[in-house]
Amino acid sequence: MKKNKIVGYFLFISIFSFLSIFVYLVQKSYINLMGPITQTKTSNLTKPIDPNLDIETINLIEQRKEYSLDQ
Amino acid sequence: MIQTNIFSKGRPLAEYLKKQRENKKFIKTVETGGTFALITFFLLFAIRPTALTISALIGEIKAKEQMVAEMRKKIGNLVLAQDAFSQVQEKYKVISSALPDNADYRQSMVQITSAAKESGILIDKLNYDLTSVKKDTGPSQLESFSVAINKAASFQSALDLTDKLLHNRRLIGLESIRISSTKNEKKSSESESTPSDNQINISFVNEIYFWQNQNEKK
Repeated sequence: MKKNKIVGYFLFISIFSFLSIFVYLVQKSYINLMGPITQTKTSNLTKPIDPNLDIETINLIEQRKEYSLDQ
Repeated sequence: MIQTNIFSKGRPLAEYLKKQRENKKFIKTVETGGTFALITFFLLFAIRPTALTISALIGEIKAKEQMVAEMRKKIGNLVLAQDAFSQVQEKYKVISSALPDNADYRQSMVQITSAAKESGILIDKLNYDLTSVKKDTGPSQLESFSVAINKAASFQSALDLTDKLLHNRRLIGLESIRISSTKNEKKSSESESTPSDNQINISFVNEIYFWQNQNEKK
């Protein structure tokens, strides 16, 4: 009877260890997989450049009158 | 008698079989437990480093792919921005006329006299204060000099001139404006203008800006 009990515990511990190590492995692998991707996303290098320059002020200045010597 | 004998002989056999069954069950449980333990051991010492390395490598490859795509997009945008910038560069003269990199007194004089002429005021004298070129201590570090105008004109012309100066392309600020009756001026005989009855004496002090430091950096 005692032998059976010990074997039951052994089985439980081995299954539990297997499951916990499996979960740890999956989690760690996921972190390893996603870590560099998220790092790239947040990196300054990947910040987009807006090719549209703000020339509103220049246009406003251009609209203003400039006198020349001939006037 | 014979029957009881059979029973007594059969009991140890049944017990033996039961024990055998228990033993089999025990061995099976031990085998299962051992298998799990062995798998766990391999998982920890063989599969773990391999899986971690593989996932890290795949992650890095994907990150690099993403980075390459982003960089391509960025380079495309940069080319577009370069084109846009070269177009804006053509307008450098506009910026320079608004905020030149030197005092450019001549241009400021042309602006003031022409604006006044258009407003019906003939300016024959401009006072440039060259001794006190002001420098803004803020981040812009604009520099400026003052030009004083003192002239007799109609109120409407004076308003028109103020408007023209404030909306001129060259950055001109109105530091102070003083309007006085020509009669008072006549009495004090300090005025240098020749006012008529419907005219007022108007004195402006304009701040004309330029941006030396910024262009020096370029």
